[in-house]
Amino acid sequence: MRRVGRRCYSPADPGRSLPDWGERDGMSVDEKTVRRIAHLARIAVTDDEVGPLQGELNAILAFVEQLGAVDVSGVEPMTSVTPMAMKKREDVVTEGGRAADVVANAPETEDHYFLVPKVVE
Amino acid sequence: MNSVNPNELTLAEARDALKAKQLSARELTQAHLDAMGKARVLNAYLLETPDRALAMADASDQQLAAGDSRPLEGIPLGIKDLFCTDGVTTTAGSKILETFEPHYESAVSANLWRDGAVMLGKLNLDEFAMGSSNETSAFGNVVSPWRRKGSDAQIVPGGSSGGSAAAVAARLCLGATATDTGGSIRQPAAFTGTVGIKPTYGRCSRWGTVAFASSLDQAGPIARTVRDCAILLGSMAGGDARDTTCADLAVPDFEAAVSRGVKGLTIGIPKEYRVDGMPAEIQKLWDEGAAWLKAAGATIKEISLPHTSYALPAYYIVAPAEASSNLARYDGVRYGLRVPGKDIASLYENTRAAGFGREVKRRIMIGTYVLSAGYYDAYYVRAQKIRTLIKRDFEQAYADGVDAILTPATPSAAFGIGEKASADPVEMYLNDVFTVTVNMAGLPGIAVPAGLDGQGLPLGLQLIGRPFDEETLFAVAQVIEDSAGRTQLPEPWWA
Repeated sequence: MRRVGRRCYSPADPGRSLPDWGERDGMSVDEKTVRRIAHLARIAVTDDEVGPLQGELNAILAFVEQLGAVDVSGVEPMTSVTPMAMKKREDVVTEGGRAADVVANAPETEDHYFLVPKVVE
Repeated sequence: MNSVNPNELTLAEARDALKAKQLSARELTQAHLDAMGKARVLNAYLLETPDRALAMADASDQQLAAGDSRPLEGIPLGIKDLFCTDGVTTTAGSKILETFEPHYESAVSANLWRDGAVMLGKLNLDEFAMGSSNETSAFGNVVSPWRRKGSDAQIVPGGSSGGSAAAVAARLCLGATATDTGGSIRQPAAFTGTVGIKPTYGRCSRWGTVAFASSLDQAGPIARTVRDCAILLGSMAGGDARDTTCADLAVPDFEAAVSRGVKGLTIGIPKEYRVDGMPAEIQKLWDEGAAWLKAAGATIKEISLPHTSYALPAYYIVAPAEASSNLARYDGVRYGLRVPGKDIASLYENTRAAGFGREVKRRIMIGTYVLSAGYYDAYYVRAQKIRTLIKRDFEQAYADGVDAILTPATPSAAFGIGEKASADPVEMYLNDVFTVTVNMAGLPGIAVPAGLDGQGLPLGLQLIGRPFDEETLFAVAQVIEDSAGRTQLPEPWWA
């Protein structure tokens, strides 16, 4: 399955371009990439978790690699599941005055503000 | 209350019995609350709301006494714990929302209360609806009321709407709300011998439902008969200005469509759904389903949906991508769990590490990866192009005169708890291979029980329809239900 991407990869056709699939070992992620993704996703991972996560993510990436075999040249990406014009509401205030409701589930609040650790020194 | 056993009634029968004053809404609700109390080993309900249920039932009895009953007057329902309920904890099956108490009501559940339904409680689910076995719930897996013949090994009810399906099959409610992003209504319905419909994307409002993948998520009912599903969808559906993707269409009389029959309809059989390794029993059931429809007057036609095999891998780009974006809101600041850190970034990271389960983290990370700089076009845009191709396949079939498509609902019957806990998440994902195409194309799909396998576990068939033509699905599904005979649900070994 790994090689499917490489066979169909054609740099001359941007509609079919794929990331590094031929150059790197398939689309697998290394430990460093796992840590980088976790940080981007704002999920702390322990050293023990990195290995198993790497294996699981690579299993999923290997599974989706078969999409490289599909010719998508000239195909528009789906932007609307059912054909419809996006509804637009009038530019008026529809709700308001519910600050107490908005903060009711917040772990820490003060005077209807959310409290967070100091962000700016 | 005569000789009516309230727990064995269908929703339609209960509605008629209430109107005929053969039993009261309070009696009907109390019978379900009692059954729930005896069925806690199934772990179908995360929260029981008996006080609210009885108050709603009493209000229904007043309406009934006044001869002014609404479409679901006094009908006790379970609500998947993904629908926000005003003043009632809504967890989405996650630790991160363990104490979350919404100050608003989801559009779908509000529609049900408007029509007189009674809330029994909140139903278990896979965490954030991510799973196919209900084993990812942070609050324990749901046990199916079904068991293999001669075995007391625990079986999964499917997922993510596993609590909904198990509660309906175990007669712990007359019907339940559910949601379906890749098969989460239809697969658990098939695993539990119940009926579940995922309507067309846009048929039900998504407002107030905890979001997983917004271009795929759609609410629908699970119930014990096709007619019951039609009744429930009639109340759940409808336009809503608060969801820009919710269609402003009149809700048809779905219940009336149930008895239309299939004479003159053309039913497509897609050859690509004959996958390697599919049990012979499922192929046999599929053939049988086609024969039933033919005998009832439909024309059966083999069709081709060439991009079928790409739907599942494309889904595992689109759904995680949208999930990573939707679940960014759980940051320990505005609601839910908060785990302190030395600065704001570590507060986010610690909160999300402690609050999310393994499957959810995995999907957020895959989504983050495929959306990250340099990969977006190659993964997400490519997957959305493949989605266009999948939808085109269906459009071609419908343009060639097909009215509905018949497929198996799942590639196997329900499996045992823990049986698919391998290190390869893809093994679990393959459960959705027949259902996920429907979400990718935004179409309606219904799962209807069609028989039992050799081990005595239920198997379902799926019907896929044209956009916003749920009526035809109800008509065809009713013919399958009539031909297969109503599934004999398991005796309450748990009580």
